[in-house]
Parts: sequence; structure tokens; C-alpha cells
Amino acid sequence: MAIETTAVLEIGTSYVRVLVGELRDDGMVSVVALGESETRGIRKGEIINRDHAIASVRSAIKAAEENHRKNIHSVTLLTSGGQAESKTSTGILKLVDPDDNQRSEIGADDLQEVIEVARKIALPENRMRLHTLQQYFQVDDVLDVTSPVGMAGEELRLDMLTIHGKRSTVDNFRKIVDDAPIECTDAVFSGLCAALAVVNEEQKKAGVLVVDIGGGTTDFVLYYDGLVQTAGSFAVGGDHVTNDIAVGLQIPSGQAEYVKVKEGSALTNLMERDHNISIPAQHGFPGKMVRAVTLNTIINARMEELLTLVKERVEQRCPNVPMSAGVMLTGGGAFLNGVRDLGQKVFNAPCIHGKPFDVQGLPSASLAPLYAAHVGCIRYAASHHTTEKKPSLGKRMLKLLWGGADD
Amino acid sequence: MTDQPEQTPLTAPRILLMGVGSSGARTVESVAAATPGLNRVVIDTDQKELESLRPEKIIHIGEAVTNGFSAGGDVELGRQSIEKSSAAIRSKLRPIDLLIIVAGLGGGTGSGAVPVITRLARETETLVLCLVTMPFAFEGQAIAGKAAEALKRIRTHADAIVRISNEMLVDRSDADLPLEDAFARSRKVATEGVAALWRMLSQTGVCGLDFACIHTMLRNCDGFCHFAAAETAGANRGPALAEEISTHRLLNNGKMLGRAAGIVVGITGGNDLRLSEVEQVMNQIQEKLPEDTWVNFGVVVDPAFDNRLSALVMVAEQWKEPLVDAANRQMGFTYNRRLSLEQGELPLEAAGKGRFTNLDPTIHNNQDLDVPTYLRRSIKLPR
Repeated sequence: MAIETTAVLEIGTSYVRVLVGELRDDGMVSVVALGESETRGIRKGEIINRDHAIASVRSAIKAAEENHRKNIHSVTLLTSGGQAESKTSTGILKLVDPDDNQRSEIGADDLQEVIEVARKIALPENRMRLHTLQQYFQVDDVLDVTSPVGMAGEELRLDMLTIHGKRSTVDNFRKIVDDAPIECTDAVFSGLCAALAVVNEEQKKAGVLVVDIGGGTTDFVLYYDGLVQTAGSFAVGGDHVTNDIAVGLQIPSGQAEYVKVKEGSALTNLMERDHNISIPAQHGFPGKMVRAVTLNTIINARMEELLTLVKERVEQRCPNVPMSAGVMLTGGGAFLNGVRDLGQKVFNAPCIHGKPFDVQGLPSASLAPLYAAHVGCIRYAASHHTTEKKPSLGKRMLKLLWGGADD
Repeated sequence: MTDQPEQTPLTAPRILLMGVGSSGARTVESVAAATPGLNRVVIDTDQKELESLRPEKIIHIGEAVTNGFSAGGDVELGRQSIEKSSAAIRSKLRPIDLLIIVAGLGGGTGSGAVPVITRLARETETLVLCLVTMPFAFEGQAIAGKAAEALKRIRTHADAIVRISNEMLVDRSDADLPLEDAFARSRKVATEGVAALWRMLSQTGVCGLDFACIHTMLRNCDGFCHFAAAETAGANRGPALAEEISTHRLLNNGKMLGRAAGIVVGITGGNDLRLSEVEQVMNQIQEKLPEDTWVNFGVVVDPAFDNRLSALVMVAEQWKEPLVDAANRQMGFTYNRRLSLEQGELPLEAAGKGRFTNLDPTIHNNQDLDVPTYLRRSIKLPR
């Protein structure tokens, strides 16, 4: 039995990562290959040097191919979509037959129709649809219907959540992949994928916020009642912390990154006030001693702001949604010391590392939050491929999820 | 509010006195008697406490959190209460240049709310001076710990903190002191200090001591400063005042002057203020100071102070050039802030963008998120 493997490519601000894996019948994701290379030519999730970026993608793919011992022909692109946003839209379908003025029963074709209507929302020219996620149906006055087939009513409504990104950013990333040259089958929002990997059904119902802190961007997805309530992205990430440190302590950014990873903490009161950190000399940099409290004050200010931004955005979009299952942090930024405690303080909810579940073959369990988005993406892509074959082969998934075709 | 002429850039620095928690509320109440013109507001969780001082401007926080009771010594409750009312506080702070917070640390509301208020003040670019009362030693280790923890948090956002240690205000000779008086004493010190500070800033002096001098002091004192205020009357007021200041309890019976790195002296007198009196006070203080101390002094003549003499001394033990200072200037310091508000423009070239300099800026709420947060909030980096 041959299960189709999915290759996932993420062009992050710090690393390009390629993960090849398959979704097995028992629901486990099995990772078969992994390729990684340091990114050049990307800042804040935007391309600043195309040639460097292509070279990075090539070397990551090559590493994965060597690891996999097979060639990779097509990939699914993970993107944070140049500050993705979400928007809710409602589709309304009148069910009353004008001829006999009778309430009619809702059939499968009515569902299809209302989904089509709800999907058609106007996005600005420079935005591009990444995902449309079906929310609740409403039949006349009955709210929160999950499956209305067979019910009778006059009006059927459906709420849709559309996650959209910046068109130019997403297009440019796709073009990089095309020029690598590899076929790019789909582009998916990394925040959503991270959530798919780390959140189980129970948590989705109780309410959980997944925050994926990457190098250049921070993505978030809020689940409640089993559905995605809102999603979004900020072009602020771990790189900003590094830059703040470099500016604040007047050290090169390489050293800033080193000291952030090794000694940095998002909490200022974890350490003794007078604890000193030595930054080693390197390449003409003479070395320096700084106080831990100085370093941590810089990190604390940035991380607190970042988490508060997420919190404010979420509260503004979905006020009063409980987060009973807490906050899950994924991505490289989640490994910063003290960031979980800070998150707990900011969100006033339990805050943990989001580790992908039901997965085999990741390099180490403790590094798992790094690969959450990739694992989720494998799950996402694989599940969409199988369901998609049933209705009609001609209708590509690409067209369904990939905005351009029908607006 | 009387300060209507918002358009003219020549308005005096606007000062707000904010009392947080029950101890802060009582202090504000007693300051109100001494300085009728000072803007003030009281913030507390305890409805009972607030009702007893109805005529004050009050903000009752945490109705939903504590149900109108006090925070009951729970710092977390105090914090939550203030977070819920942060919008009200922010709008209060927006037109203010200098915020003076008085609070007693060690309880729930004071320890929980003040760190949040200082943060909000920082976001609205208001200068913050905190006068906090530290608990008595007999109140126990837990309360002292709470106070110390709160102080640490306040320190990240406040421009300067004046610690009034209750313990320093009493000594062996005060064994018979009624408890109420012991607490009242720290309140009295805070009251005198605020009143003297307000006089300095609001009245044009003969020999200037203005907002900028205080600001220089606050910026350089590395977070903490000490202060003492004294008042004397009668014919012998000059020497008496000099004596009182140089042996003041809060300055460790005057010993602190010997270690001072920076000092601001503000003297208030009536129309009958004589040069010799100022000379006496200044000489006696100068004698005790080390040679290279940064000294700034000012004299204010207030007709209400006929036959009286009062002095305010602020002492910094450490004197450091803060790291954020250079950037501060570029971000537009308080006075210009009001002008730039009308225009709503961003600084042309923001400092500290480092590697993000030539990229598309990420603008959120009129802030360039690529600029380090500590610069935007002008958090002083401890060195």
C-alpha cells in the first residue's frame, strides 16, 4: 500500500525547512525526511533578495532529498501570508419555492449553494484568499446548526471565516518555489497548520489560542466551540527581539542572537539583578559584559508587547471568548526562556508549549514545537487530497482553497 | 478642569497627583488640603474607602473583580482590577506631563495596580514619579516580599521612585508612638513632599527650578531617589531649617548627603525671604555634600509663606547617564508631544531600527513596531 507523501516547505525568516511526511490510516503523521537551511534574503517574512532566497530554498530541498533518497517534485507552501487577516462573511439562501409557497427540505445541493454564496466575499485587490473555513449554519431562527440536511425552513444561512493574506507576498513566495524549480501545489496559512497539529478536539471546544512565534512573523489562531473564531498575523517575531538586543546593548546581531538564545529571558525577575553575562569576542568584536537585567528588560518589553498585540487583536475580533484550554506557543520564539510565564501573565490563562501529537520521526520531542506548523500542514494537505478525490477529479483542491479562480 | 487653552503650546506642565489604594487615597486627601490647585484623582478597589472621600475625583476600579470590596492584600486581584479599567486611566493620563503616584506597597491594590499604571503612563509618554511607602518590618516577611516585588515591577516603567521607608521614620525613641500616628507620619512626609514639589513646579521662582531640572534629576538617578521636606517658622527659621534638613530622618539622619551624587534643593519662602536665609540653608547642605555632586537649586516666593520657610530636598545616590537618553530626544520629549499630537506624524527617522532600517515599516496604532519596544516606551535600561 503506497501512501502518498506530502512535502511541506516553509520559507521562514530564519530557516527554510522542508518536511516530507505521510498521513497514515491510523491518523499518525510519519515524518520521513527533513531538510533545513539557514535563510538568506528574507526579512520580516518578505523577500528582500530573491537570488539568496532561491538558493536557500534549493539547499533545503536538496538536504531533504538526500535525507529522503527521493526527489521532491511538488511541495505545499507554508506561509504567514504577509500579515494574514481573517474575516467572517455570511451566505443567505432563500429556500421557499415561489410557486407553491411551501417550506422545503434542505438538501445537499442547497448546502453546496449556500457554501458558494458564503464564499463569495469581496476582498481588496491586494489581498488573496488562503482558506475558507465553514462555521455554523442557521436555519430560520435556529442558531448553531452543524448539519442542516433534512431540516425544513425558509432561509438557510452559513457563516464563513476567510483567512486572507497579502497577494504580492504570497505570489512572490510561490514564484520562488516555481523557480527553484518545484511545483507548488498549494499555499496554506502557517498559523492554522500549527493549530491543526497541536490542538485536539477537546481543546478546540473549550477554547484555545495558538500563537506561532517565528523569526519574522507571529501568527495566531483562536479556536472555540470546535471552530476557528479568528486568525491573524503580525510582522513581529524573534528577529525583532534580536534586533532590540543588538541596538540596546550595542553588539553585533550575531552576538545578540547568541546571547538571546543562551541567556535571554522574557521575565525580568527570574534572575538576580547583579548577574553578569559575558558576550564572547568574535570577528573584530572585542567582547562585552552586560547585566542580565539589562538584557532581560529589553526582551521582556518586546515579548510583552508582542503578546499584548495578539491579545488585543483577539479581544477586538472576538470579545469574551473563553480560553479554557489556555494558550499554546509554537515556533522558535516559544523556546525563549520565561516566555510561557509571560504569556500566562499577559493572557491570564495557562500557557504551554504546543507539541504536535500523533507524529513519528521528528528529530527530538523537545524541539517538536518548531515543527508544529509543518506536521499540521502534512495533516492538512493529506486529508484534503483524499476527500477531494471523491466528488470529482476535475475540481482541483487548489481551486477550492486558492482564491484566485472564482472571484 | 480649568486648563482649557489646549491649542497654545505655552501651557504649563500639567501635573496629576494620583493616589492608589487606601494608603494613597488618604495621602491625596491630606495633600488636597495643602495644595488646592493641584489636579488629583484617587483610585481604589474599596468602595467604602472611596465613599469616605466623596468630593475627590475618584476612579473606582474592579467593581466586577472585587465586588466593591478591597483587594484584600491579593496583588493579582489588584492587577486584574486595574486592567479592567485601563481605558479610563489611559484617557486620564493622555493630557498629563508629569504623573505623581502615591501609594503604599505591600497591600493588594497598591502593589497590583501601580505597576500597571506606570506602564500605561509610559505608553502615553507621561513622566512618572512614584512615591511609595514601604511597609514596617513588623508587618512581616510576606508583605515586605510583596512590596519588593511590586517595586521591581514599578521600576521598569517609572522614571523615578521615591521610597519612603516606614521603618526609617520611627526609631527607638518612638516606642510610645500611637500606631495611627506612625502610619500618619509617612503620609505626612509624602504630603509635604508632594506639596513642595507642586509649589516648585507651578510657581515661577525667583531663581528657577522648573520641570526640566526635576526631569534631569529623575532621568539620571537610576530609578531611585530619596527626598526630604521640612518647614520652619519664626525669626530663627533659616538656621532651624538648615539643621532640620541636614539631620532629616529620611536622609538617614543626614548621612545620605555625604554620599549624594545629585541633589535638587527647592526653597519656598514668603515676601520676607532674606538672602542670608537661603545662604544658610544652602551652605549647610553644601558642606555635607561630596565635591563633585550635581547640585540644582531653586527659590520660590509665595506670599502665603510669610514668616515661614520650607525646603524640599531630592537626593540621588547614583548618577548614571541612562541608555535610552539619546533616543528619547529623537522620539520627541513631552513638551513637543502636544504639538505633534495635532499633526499625528511619525518621527521621520526613527532610531534603533537596526537591520530593519530600509524595510517597509510595520505600523500598528501609529507606532513603528520595528523600533525596539524599550525605546518606544522609553523604558530605562538598567546598566
